[in-house]
Amino acid sequence: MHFNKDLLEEIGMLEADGTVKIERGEEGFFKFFEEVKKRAPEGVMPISGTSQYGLPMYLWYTLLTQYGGDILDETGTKATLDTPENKKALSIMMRMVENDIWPKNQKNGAEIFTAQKAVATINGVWALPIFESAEGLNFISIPFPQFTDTDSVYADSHSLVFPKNDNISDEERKAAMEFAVWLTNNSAKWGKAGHIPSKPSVAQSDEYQSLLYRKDYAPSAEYAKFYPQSTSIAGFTELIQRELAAMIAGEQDVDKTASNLQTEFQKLLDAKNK
Amino acid sequence: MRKHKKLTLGRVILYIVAYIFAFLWLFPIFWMLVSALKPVGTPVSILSKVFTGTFTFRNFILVGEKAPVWTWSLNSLIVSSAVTFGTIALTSMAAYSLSKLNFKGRGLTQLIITAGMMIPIEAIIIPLYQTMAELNLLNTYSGLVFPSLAAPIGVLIMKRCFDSIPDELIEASVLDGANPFQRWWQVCLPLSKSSMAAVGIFTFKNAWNDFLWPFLSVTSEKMMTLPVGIPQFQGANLSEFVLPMTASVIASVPALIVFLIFQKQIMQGIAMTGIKG
Amino acid sequence: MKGATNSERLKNIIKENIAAWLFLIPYLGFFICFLLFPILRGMYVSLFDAALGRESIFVGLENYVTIFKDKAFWQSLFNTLFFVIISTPAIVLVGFVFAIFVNSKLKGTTFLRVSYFASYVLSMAVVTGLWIFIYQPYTGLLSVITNALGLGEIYWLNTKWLVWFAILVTTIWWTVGFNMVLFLVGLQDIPDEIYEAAEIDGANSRQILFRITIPLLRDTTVLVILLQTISSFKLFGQTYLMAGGGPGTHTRTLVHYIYETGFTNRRMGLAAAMSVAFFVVVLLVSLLQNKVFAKK
Repeated sequence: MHFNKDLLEEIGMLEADGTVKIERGEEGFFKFFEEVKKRAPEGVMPISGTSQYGLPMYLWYTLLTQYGGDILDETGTKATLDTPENKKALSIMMRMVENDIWPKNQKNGAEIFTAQKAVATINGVWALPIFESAEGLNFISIPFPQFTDTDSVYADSHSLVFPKNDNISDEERKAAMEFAVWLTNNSAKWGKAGHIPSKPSVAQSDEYQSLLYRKDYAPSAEYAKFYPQSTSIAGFTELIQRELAAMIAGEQDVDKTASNLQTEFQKLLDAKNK
Repeated sequence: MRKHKKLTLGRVILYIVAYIFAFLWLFPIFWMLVSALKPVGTPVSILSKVFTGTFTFRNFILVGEKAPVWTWSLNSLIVSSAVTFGTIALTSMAAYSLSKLNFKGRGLTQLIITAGMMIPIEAIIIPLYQTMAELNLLNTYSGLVFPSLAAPIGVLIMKRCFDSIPDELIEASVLDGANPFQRWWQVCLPLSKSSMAAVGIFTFKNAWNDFLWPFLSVTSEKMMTLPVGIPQFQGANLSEFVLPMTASVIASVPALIVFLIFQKQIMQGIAMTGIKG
Repeated sequence: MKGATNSERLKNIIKENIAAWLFLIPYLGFFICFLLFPILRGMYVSLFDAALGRESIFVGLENYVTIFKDKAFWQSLFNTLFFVIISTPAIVLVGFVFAIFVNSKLKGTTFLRVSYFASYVLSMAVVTGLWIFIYQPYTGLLSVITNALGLGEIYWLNTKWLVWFAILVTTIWWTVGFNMVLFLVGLQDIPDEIYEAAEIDGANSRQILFRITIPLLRDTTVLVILLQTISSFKLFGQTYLMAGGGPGTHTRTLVHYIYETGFTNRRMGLAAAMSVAFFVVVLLVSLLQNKVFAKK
C-alpha cells in the first residue's frame, strides 16, 4: 500500500516519525480510513485502486488467505470458494466500496494517485518506478495491512521455465541453467522495477537494500502467498477478475459472487481432470 | 449542375446540424493530437489545461524509451507494405486468369473464391493459429502477412476491372504475338491503375489497423504491430494520459496522412467493396 | 487465327491452360492454405477433445452437445445478437444521414466529408484507447462534464445496458464513415434530372427525400444493412478492450467467448466447434437477409 505523505500530513494523520500507523484487524483498518475519508479535501478519495483486472484479484486473494481460505482443496480437484472465508474476504471488499473508501469503477488507480487525488493507493510493487518519477509526489510504502492474526499477502513471481525438449544438447541445457542462476544472483537490479528478489541473500544485499522504499515492503516476502499450483489457474484468473469487477460495480452481491466462483471454477477443474 | 441552393430556414438548420456533427466527430482526434504535445502528467481531461499552456514534442522521444513503439511502427510498416504489394500482385494475376484466360475449371475456381468471401477470419482463428504454430510462423513477419494475402475481395475487384477491358484490345496484342504474360503486363495492368490504387490503399489501411490476427499470433513484444502494442502500452501506463495519447498519435498519423492524400482511392476502394454482388 | 491447324490450336489451348494456372497458383496457394484449409480443419478439430498438453480424443459431436447445453455460449450469442439488432439500424441510419449532409451541396462539403470519415482510418487500439479516456470515471472527459453539470459520476463502462450504449456510440463514431461512403456512391448515381424534374413539379425537400431519394437508394441500403449486420456479428475488440466483456459477462460476445475458450482455457476442440457454430450463424443470417431483401 502506498500513501501520499503530503496529504497525510495535511489531514494530520502522518505519524511523527513520518510513517503511517494502522491498527491491525478489520476494525482498525476501517477506523483509520473512515477518518481519512472525513478529513480528506474535496475531490480526494481515501484509497484509489483500479476496480478491474488484476488489482481486485490481488486484494481479494490477500484477504482470503488472511482469513484462512484458499481456492482449492489439497487434492487440487475441488474448488473451495463457496465458503465463509471467501464471503468474508468479499464482504470486506464491498465494505470498502460501499463506504466510499475505495470508490468503485476506477480504471486507473495509479493515475489517480499520481494526480494526488487519493490519500492512499493499493498497487503492486511495479508501480514504484511510476510513483518515483511523478513530479511532486512524496510517498511512503508499507506492507499491505493485516486483518487477522494470520500474516498473508498475495504474490506472484516471474519464473524461469525450462520446456521439455529432447533436442537440445547437454551443453545448451547447462548454459540455460547457468543463466537462470546468474539471473537469480543478480536480481537486485530487478529490484529497481520494484520486484523483490527471490533469493534471501540477494534481498539482504547492500545493492538491493540501498534502493529506497523497497526495503520497506520487502519483509512481506516472508509471508507471501502464491496461488496453489494447478493447470486451471489461467482460466481461474479470468474468472475471478470478471466476477470481482461485476461485484464491485454493484451488479451482484457477495453470496452470488461466491457461488458463481464455486460453480465456474469447479467446471474448469472438472474439464481439466476428466 | 446544381448551384448552391438558396438559404431557407430548413437549409440553415441543415448547416447547423451538419457542422455540429462534424465538430463532434473531429473533436476526439483533435484532442488526441493536442494532448500528445503536452508535458507528461498534464490532466488531459481538463480541456482548459489541454488547449493552453506549454507544448512539447519531447513525448515522441519519451514514448520510445518506455516501450518499443518505434519498433512496432516499423513492424506495422513492413507488414502493411508486404500485404499491400503482395495483394496487388497476387490478386491482379489471379484476376487476370479468371477474367481473360480460358481454362478448364475456371467457373469452379471462381465459385470457390467467391464462397471464400463468406468465411470471416473470426471463424478460423483457432485452426489458423494451430496451422501457423505447426509451420513455426508465429511471431514472424510471414505469419503476420500470409493470412491477409488470402482475402478474396481483391480478386473480385480486380476481376471486375479486367472484365471491363475490351477483348478487342487483348486480341490486338495477340495478333502482335503477345504471350499471356505480356498481355497481362503490357495491356491489362496499365489500364487498371486506378483499381490497383484503390485496392492498394484500402488494403494498406486495413493491414495497418488489423487487430485480431496480430493480437493472436504475436506474443513477443519485439514483433508486435502498433494495434497490438498500444493497448499493452496503455495497460502498463495507467499512471497518466499523455504518453498513451502520444503512442496513439504515432499509430494514427500515417493512416491520417495517407487518408488525406488518397481520399479518392480509399473511398473508391470502399465503393468497390460494396459492388461485389 | 489464320492458317492454324488443329494441333496448333490444341497446343495453344494447353498453353493457355498452363498460363492460366500459373497466374492463379500464387494467389490460390495462400487462399487454400490460410482460408480454405483452416475452415475445414476447424470443422475437423471440432470433433475432438483437444487441449494443451495431452492427446486429442475423438469425441464426435460431443463438443456440439456441450455447447448446446452451455449457458455461457447462449449468453454470448444473445449478447452478439443484441448488439447486431441495436447497432445495425443505428449505424446504417447515421451513415445515411451523413451521406445526405455531404451530398447537400453545402459550403465546405469536403470538410464535412473528411470530418465524418477520418475516424474510420484509425485503428481499434487508438479508438478504444481514446474512448476509454472519455468514459473513464473520476478522471475522464465525460466525468469532468457530468461533474460540472452536477450529475456526479456515471459509470459508462461498468453499468449494465449503459455499457452497450457506450460501446454503440464508440462504434458509430468509428465506423460510420464506411456506410456513409456507400450511401454517397448510391446518391451520386441518382441523376440530377430527377431532382430537377421534381423541383419543377413543386416538390419540397422533404417530399424529395422520402418519395425519391430513399426509394432509389433501396439497393444501396440493402447492401449497407447486410454488410453492417455481418460486421456487428464480429464484435470483439471494443467490448474486450473497453469493458473486458463486462460487467461480468454482460458484454462478452461470441468471438470473445471463442477466444477465451480456445486461447485462455486452451480447449481447442470446443472453441473450434463454437467457431463452426459462429460461421453457420453468420451464413444463415446472410442468406436470410438475402432472401428477405430479394428483388420482388
